[in-house]
Amino acid sequence: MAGQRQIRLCRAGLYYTLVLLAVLSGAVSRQLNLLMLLGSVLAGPLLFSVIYGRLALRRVRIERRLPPHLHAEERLFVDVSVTNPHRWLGLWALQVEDVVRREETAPTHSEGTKVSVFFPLIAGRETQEVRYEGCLRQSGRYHFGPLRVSTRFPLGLVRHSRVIEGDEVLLVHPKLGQLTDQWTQLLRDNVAGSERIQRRGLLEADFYGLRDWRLGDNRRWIHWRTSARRGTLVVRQFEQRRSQDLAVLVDLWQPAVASELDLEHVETAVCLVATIVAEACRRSARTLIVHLAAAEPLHRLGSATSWFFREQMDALSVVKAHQQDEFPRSLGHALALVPPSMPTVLVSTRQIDWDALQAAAAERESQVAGRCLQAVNVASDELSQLFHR
Amino acid sequence: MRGLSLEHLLRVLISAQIVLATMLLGIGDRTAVLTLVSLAMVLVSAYLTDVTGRFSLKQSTANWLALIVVALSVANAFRIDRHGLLIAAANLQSYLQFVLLFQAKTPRVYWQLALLSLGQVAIASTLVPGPTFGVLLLVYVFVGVVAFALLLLHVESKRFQRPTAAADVSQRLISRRAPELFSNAAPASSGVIARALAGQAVGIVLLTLGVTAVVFFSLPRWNIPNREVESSEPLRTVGFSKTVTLGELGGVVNNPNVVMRVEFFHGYGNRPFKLAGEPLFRGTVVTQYEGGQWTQSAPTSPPVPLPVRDKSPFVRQRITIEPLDVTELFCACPVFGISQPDAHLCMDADSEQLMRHEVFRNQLLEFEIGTTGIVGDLQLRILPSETQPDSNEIDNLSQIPTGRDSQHDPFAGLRETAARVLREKNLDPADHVAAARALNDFLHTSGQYFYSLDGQPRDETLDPLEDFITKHRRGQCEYFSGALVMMLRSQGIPARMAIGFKGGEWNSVGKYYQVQQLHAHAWVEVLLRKNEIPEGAFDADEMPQAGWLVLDPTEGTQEGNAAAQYAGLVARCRQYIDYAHVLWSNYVVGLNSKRQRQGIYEPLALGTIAAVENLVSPRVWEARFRALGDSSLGTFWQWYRRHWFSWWGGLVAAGFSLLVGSSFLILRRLVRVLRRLGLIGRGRSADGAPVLEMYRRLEAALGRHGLRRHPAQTAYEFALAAGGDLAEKIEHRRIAHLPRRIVESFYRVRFGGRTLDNHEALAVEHALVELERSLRRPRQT
Repeated sequence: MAGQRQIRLCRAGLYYTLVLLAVLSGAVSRQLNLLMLLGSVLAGPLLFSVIYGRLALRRVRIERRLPPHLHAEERLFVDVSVTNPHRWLGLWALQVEDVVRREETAPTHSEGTKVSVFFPLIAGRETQEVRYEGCLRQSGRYHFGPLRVSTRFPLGLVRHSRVIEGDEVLLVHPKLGQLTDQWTQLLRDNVAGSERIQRRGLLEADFYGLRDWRLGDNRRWIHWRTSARRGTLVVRQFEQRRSQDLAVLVDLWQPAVASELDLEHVETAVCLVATIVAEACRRSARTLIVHLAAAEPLHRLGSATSWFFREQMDALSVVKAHQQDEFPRSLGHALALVPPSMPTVLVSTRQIDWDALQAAAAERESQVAGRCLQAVNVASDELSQLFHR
Repeated sequence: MRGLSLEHLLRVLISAQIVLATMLLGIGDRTAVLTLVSLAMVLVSAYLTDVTGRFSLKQSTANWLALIVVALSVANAFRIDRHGLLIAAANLQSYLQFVLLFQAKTPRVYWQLALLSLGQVAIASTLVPGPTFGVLLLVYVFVGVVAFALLLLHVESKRFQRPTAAADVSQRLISRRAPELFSNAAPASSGVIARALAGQAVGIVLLTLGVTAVVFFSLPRWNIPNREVESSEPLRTVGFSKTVTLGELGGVVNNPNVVMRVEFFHGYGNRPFKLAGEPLFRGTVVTQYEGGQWTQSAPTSPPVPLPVRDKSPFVRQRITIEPLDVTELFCACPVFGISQPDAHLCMDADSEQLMRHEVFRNQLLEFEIGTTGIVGDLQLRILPSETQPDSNEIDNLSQIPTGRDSQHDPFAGLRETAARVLREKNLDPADHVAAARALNDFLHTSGQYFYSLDGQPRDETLDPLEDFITKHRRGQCEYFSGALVMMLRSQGIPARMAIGFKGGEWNSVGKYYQVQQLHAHAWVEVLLRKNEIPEGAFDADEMPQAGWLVLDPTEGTQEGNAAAQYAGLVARCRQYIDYAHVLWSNYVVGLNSKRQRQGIYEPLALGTIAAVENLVSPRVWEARFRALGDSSLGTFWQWYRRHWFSWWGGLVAAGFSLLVGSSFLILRRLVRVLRRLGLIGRGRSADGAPVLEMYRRLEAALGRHGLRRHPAQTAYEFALAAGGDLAEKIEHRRIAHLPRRIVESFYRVRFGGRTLDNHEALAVEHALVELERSLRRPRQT
């Protein structure tokens, strides 16, 4: 890590220097030796301040340890460790300033948020670690750095600083909220509707193993070959499918001039989608389709695994809302790819334009009607009945 | 961090700074009132404001109080002199400090308190001339550095404390979407910090001393004679001047005040020397006596500038004389100016008395003059005089008061005693030298007269000198000297009494005489015409027109006392302290352009030139080699050159080779041990280089065992393979895991950008040592 050094006279140092110059000039002009002595004595600490900082910050090693992953509004803990490479020289009043900046945020936040840790004393050859904490309210890609290490020791007259270039990136996943019972009920109704439509059969469950026959067991489950070998009835045991497939379609829109509320709606929509995906993965849904109509449309289909979950979280972290006023046709196209029996959740940050959706679906020879489709407008009041952030 | 404890310590130190500054002022103003008041205010404010919080001035109230104090001080300033003005300014700063002391302490208040105390020190620097200022300034700087370092730590620690709940809410209100981050500070014990800081402060103060020395001595000095600043100290009273009353020296000799310091040099040399006997520094010369009082004869001409002479050989006297209440100066006589006239000095042509001009009387004065009165390291007992005495002068020096009654001789007994002494010794009064010495011996060694500083009963009906000779034979040096003068005059020998200082304390540290008031003394000078000067006293070509025979009838009486008084360790300490005073006086308070050039720049330049010459001069190197050849080593080399092809020569060569080889091995071993201990070389934990070195050692150790890394293998693969190979042998099974552990550490540093803490580094080192020891190849037998 390259270091950029800087030395700056603090306000106290400026006053000190002025007093020093006044004393010295008065002493020299009046040829007062004792006043010259006083001025010379005052020069000592100032020179020490200049020398000390330069020596102390040389070869100082600083490390920052970020958490491996984090969800928005979770507690952030960052460990900053400083190693004093010097044998005899203690590091005094060392301040390490870190800059946390969200990628592609509004210009007002472009300089990032500064946070510092302070080490009163690090003895020679010692490593000390201090943790700073906080909360990142938005999901996204956050850049940490550069680190600026500085000291004003001993008298606070001169600030020596060294910038340690290089940044680290932390992907902050969307906050996982809580789906309400009403949401669960809605989804269950959809699933029930789907079950009514589908014919139940052996294929709807997976083979798990064999066990002895018990009263009440379906005769179709008897494994005749094993029963013959053992001489007793053995039935096949199935793992019941307890979850369902799910499709999540998202219209992530924000106006060209977005207000704080609009941004909040986008964040809520992302948060809701992340929660739905997390819930689906937790319940081991078999197939999950996620389609995001965003600045860069995203379409994902896969089994609900932890890997899939992580992938969706990463994608949702950096997703950006689109600013097109017309309802995205890609949503209709995506809907056409979703089997009609598959429970589908349509999330939008605005009022859903059903006509446009229908038109787009029709382009792919599909239709909206007759589907298990649950639409959620995060800008509406009804969201609070379904989801809590 | 226990900020409260740090703050307590900080308050104590700032308070100490305040008190120290007022102490300095108190020393300058010779009063302890301000110091005591400051101390009281510091204690009261600490209790009322800082500890209990019962009383605290509001900012607005404090501002009004400060304004009132300033207004009152300004009003008073118009009614006082310059010295008073300085004291008033210092007092004003104290009053402002008192107002601040009763305010809640913030960093701003601490800074203001410190600045005000610094202002007081600046004022004190104009009032305190002694080295006490330097010592207290050093303490002040130490306290100040520690205090401000603590202030910095205290302020920074507070800044990094977690915000309060209210601040937290306000931050949320600003933006709900912005990252919310909280700074933090590492915990630290105030005790640890205080101890470490004290050590650090010592370093800072030492550096400050170095910087101070460089800056102070480099600052330009003009030709302003800065020592000619009027002393604020009271003038030292010598106790005698042109008029001397018998007995008055008794009070003076109990006074230890320093009058002057004198260094003697041969010619223009720079090495001071000590005289063989006690030097006499002549001051006043009195000739006329009347009723117990000696006075000078009326001057016939005004003082003249000290004549500059070019004489050789001569002795140079460097005299630093304190501000005195008389203009007379004291020195070894006779004197003349050297190199250039000194504007401070003048001379009374009649009495050859060295004086300073009245305007310089109350100043510390340093001057250099020459004298021919010292030859080698002996002060002459017959001093040369440049002028032939005229008859008036001789009459003046031979005069004996007749008293009120012309029929009655007030000195009949004295006259009779002098005549008897000469008669008994069968001496002719015309032989002035012999007669004078006989009379001097009579007073000095006859055992009839005793030196005493105590006041003696005198017969009021008799002249004090007559009484001393005939009745009460105890007295001080003026009685001895006065009596001898009168006895000499009674026998027709012209004489006068000289008053000045005798001896002084030889400071073996600084190689100078320190003359105190207690060294005041009186002696006698007998006028010798040219033909009366004994043969051999002077070289024929340097025979003066006249001479003065110096006689001290009380000689020897004070030597024992002085020696006893200043013997031992205490005396040595006194000498060091006095030398410190001298150095302070010469190189701090009295540093001027001349002294800066002579005392600093020229020796520095000469030293540098000499050092360079010593390094590059072939002549110097030739001399060194010659000296080496003459030394025992050279003798040995000569022997070896003759006997190198012999049994003894072979043995010596083998021994030398063995010595060199073993020294190399020991040195290499030592370097390795020091490197392992981290005492030399770059740090282990702070840098990857030592870890690379560790990996190199691992490869070397395994290589010695026949395990070498294949180019296609990574370090980790090599370590695993090596571990597997080692595990196959029972004796190496216990170390089979070590290569992997070492390489894991190596990877962490080399590729992970991590550091090993001391514990980890030590573990790796132990593993390496264990591996090296276990895989060491068995010795070939």
